[in-house]
Amino acid sequence: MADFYNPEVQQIFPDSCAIKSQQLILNDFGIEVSEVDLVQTAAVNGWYNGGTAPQDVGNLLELANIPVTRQEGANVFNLVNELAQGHKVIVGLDANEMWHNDSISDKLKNWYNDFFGEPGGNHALIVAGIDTSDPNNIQVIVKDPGSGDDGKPYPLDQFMDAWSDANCYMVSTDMSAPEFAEGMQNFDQELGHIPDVAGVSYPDFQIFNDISMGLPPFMPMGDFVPPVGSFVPPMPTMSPMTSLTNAYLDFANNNIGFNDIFSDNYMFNDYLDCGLVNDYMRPTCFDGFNDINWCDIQPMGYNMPMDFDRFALAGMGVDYNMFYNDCMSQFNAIGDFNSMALCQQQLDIMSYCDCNCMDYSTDFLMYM
Amino acid sequence: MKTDADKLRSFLKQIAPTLETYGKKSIVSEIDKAITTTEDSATVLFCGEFKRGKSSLVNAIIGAELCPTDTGIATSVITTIKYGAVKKAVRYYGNILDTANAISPDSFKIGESPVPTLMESLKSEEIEWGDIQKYTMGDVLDIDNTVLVELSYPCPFLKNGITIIDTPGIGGLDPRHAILTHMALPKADVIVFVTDAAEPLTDSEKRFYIDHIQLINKPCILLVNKCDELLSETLNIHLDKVKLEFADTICPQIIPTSAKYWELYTTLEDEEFLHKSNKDAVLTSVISQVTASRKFQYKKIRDFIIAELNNASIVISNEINALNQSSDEKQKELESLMSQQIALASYRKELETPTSQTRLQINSIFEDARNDVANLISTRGGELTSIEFNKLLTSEKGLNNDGKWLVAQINDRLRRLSYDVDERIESAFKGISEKIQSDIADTVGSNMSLMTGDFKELNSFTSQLLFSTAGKAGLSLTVVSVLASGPIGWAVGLAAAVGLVWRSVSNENETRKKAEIQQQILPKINLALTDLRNQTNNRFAKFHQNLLSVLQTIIKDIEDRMKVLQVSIQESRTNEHKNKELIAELEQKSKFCETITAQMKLLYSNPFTNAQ
Ligand SMILES: Nc1nc2c(ncn2[C@@H]2O[C@H](COP(=O)(O)OP(=O)(O)OP(=O)(O)O)[C@@H](O)[C@H]2O)c(=O)[nH]1
Ligand SMILES: [Mg+2]
Repeated sequence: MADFYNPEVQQIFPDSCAIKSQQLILNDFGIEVSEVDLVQTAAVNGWYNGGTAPQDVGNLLELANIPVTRQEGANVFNLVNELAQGHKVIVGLDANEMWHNDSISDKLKNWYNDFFGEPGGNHALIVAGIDTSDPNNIQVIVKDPGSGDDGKPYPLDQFMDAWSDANCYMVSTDMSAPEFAEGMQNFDQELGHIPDVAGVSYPDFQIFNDISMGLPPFMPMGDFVPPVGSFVPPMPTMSPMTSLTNAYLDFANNNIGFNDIFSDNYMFNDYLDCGLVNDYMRPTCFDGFNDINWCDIQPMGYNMPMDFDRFALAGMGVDYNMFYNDCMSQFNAIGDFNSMALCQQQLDIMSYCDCNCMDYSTDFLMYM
Repeated sequence: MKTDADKLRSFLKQIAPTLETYGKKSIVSEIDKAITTTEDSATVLFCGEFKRGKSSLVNAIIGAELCPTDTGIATSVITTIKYGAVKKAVRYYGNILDTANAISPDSFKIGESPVPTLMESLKSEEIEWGDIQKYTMGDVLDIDNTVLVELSYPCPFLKNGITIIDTPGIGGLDPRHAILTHMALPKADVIVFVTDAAEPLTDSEKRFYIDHIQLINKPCILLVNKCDELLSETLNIHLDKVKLEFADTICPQIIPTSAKYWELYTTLEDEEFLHKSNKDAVLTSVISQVTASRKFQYKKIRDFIIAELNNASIVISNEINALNQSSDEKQKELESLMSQQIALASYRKELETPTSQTRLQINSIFEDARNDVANLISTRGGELTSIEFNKLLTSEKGLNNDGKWLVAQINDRLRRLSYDVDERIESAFKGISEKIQSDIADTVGSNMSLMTGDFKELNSFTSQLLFSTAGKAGLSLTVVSVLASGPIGWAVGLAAAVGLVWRSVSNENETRKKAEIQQQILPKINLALTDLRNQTNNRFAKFHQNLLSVLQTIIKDIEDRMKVLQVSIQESRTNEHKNKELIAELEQKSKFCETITAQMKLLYSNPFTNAQ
């Protein structure tokens, strides 16, 4: 633990974690202000009475003209999506699950509390990143004012357990942090997002993010096996979100094709609410389609640019698989990888349709 | 932790391509230079009434006797001291009085520094380190017209870019001294105003502060020097007085000090002198004012960048608007082209399909004409061989001129009949032609600029159709010859035949004459009518044949028009999509400008410090 300790991250007061988190973010944005000043400001405004109420987290940022979005019931894909856009993220969680989760008795107690106790967020910290370099052991990297840990990794499952106790509450800035902020050196401010997320192109990642919206909120799950002889109810072996995460990683590591994520191997499919997914995926589809740089290519058999208009295409009985594959090889040839990724996104949406008995043309292309 | 300069550079680097594309070309290097200048240099200028100990203080800070000090008026030039690993002295000299006098004293107050212009007219030379005093102290002749001495000196305090300027005292007898000080003032980032603890604050000192220092609006420190000359109570009374004097101004920081003790501390390293000189307070204040001045400068640069970025944004959004507008126009143009295309295609189909509404209408005009003509010939022909003929024969002139009158009358009626037939056919042609013309006008619209050229062709084609019925141009040569030469030639022919008949019935009595004329002429009339019928049928057959070929020509014409349209449509679509792409690109740029502006605005903004 000492490895990650950074006194500048440590909060001064026992209950100023949310304020300290905001201070660190303010510093990232170039606003030098002390925690004490912030505590005073928060107190004056009624945002600090023995801690900060969840809905008040972010108020200090807004006061400094940094707009934020507050999300309840968020999931790990939503979280990653914010990080991918260079936004700074504060989450609420149950500190006990983070700090005291080493011994078996800790685990048992936390687990017991999750089921029978009164779980609740009691702590706020900054999620600085997610390390997926080892797909079998995804780590959430945090800046924790409570412990003073700067960049300490936590196993995703443990983080999710702790986060879900605060109903997966998340406050994220709407603005990307500036280039000089920690970790932003290679961020393309003009593009507005990182080019790929854990080995998956950003457009493809968006599809996963859309799909995640159709899954139920976090369910605690156990890689933890209770000691033999203890009286415990059977635990679900996996949450749908974890299943989707696994599908994502399998896809990212080229173990499977995109449409394989809809196979029986991934139990999230049993929980998927396609109506919800569609609502989120349609704008993704529409924006993606429009961002493809059609002008530079001439797919086989199409009277370009007569036919490539989405409405024209939708009504033409086009074999979209062939169409997009041809487009992709042409984009590849001219080095327009962004358009290529966006064509792949459309192909993924088609796969999603195929696997869930929908029609790409009528359910997506024609929708807008 | 990144410095302010680094932060600004980070922003500048990101937006450089945008600024260079949508703003002034040189702006990026200008801004970069401003950042570097602010980062690398800050000028702390010492000024005040003569003999307050300015030079002594400068020397104390540097830790070396660089500037001349004396009980008499000592400093006669501007002395700048900046960091240099090796000692170096350069003097700038020339006659400044003429130039300075030409500038009205008011212009010394604020704003444009006359220094650059004056400096340009000066010559410079490096001087021996030991000769500094020679060129800085005394009258103009003593110092050989020296205006400014630039010293480089390895003093650690100057290492972070601070340049210290010592100026001649104001209020002395030599007007040159005040002029030099005024010249140097605008160059200052931080002003140290030196007063004397042993002397009451003079009016001219205070006026100088209000009129010149305060107006420049730069961070300022007021040093009360020589505090060694007063006991601490007296000193406090003096300080209170000074504070009171400056209470109604934008009050500078007032710090007591003693150059004398400071120098003593430097040589003796006795802590007591350190304390009494107040050295630490002075240096801390100087450094914090330099920092404040830099911050102020960075803020100005930041605002400048934001303004430039905003200008670029305006250019970008104007471009977006223009593109959107042209995109709207292109969209409208495209829609109009497409609707023309569709209308043409459907009319083409109408003309092509024999059972179409249009074709049926054309046919019925044609058939109506044919029936009319047939009726005309049979009615008028029947009358001519019966009632009309008898009427003529039994009329008073019936047998006039040996029956020639009668033949002439009949020929005349036959001619009129053939004219009427001709007219009827002509009107049928006209009817069909007009119908096609108005159909096309209805379909494609008469206001379509693209189409007018070809409509003219169509017009000329249909008028050709009309002309041919009038016999002037070749719709059908056969029909033309029948109808154009027909009525006349044919009537002549009839007259000749009647003439022959006439000669064979001479000298018969009236009744027999009539009977014979009737017997001879009636069959001829019937023959002529049959001929007219045949010719008319022929003509209608040719008419019909021609009509079909006219339709084919019109169809081809429409097809050609559609091909041209197709090219325009493709072009228009390509343009429109290029437009959209450009708009998307610019919108990303504009959003980027917004993000960077928002990020930059956060710099130096701290809403929390006031909350305490
Ligand atoms: N007692 C005392 N004398 C001082 C102090 N500082 C300077 N002096 C004396 O005051 C006289 C003037 O000092 P300078 O440093 O030449 O003053 P100045 O303001 O530069 O004078 P000009 O350049 O001629 O305007 C000298 O005799 C110094 O020795 C001080 O702190 N205490
Ligand atoms: Mg002097």
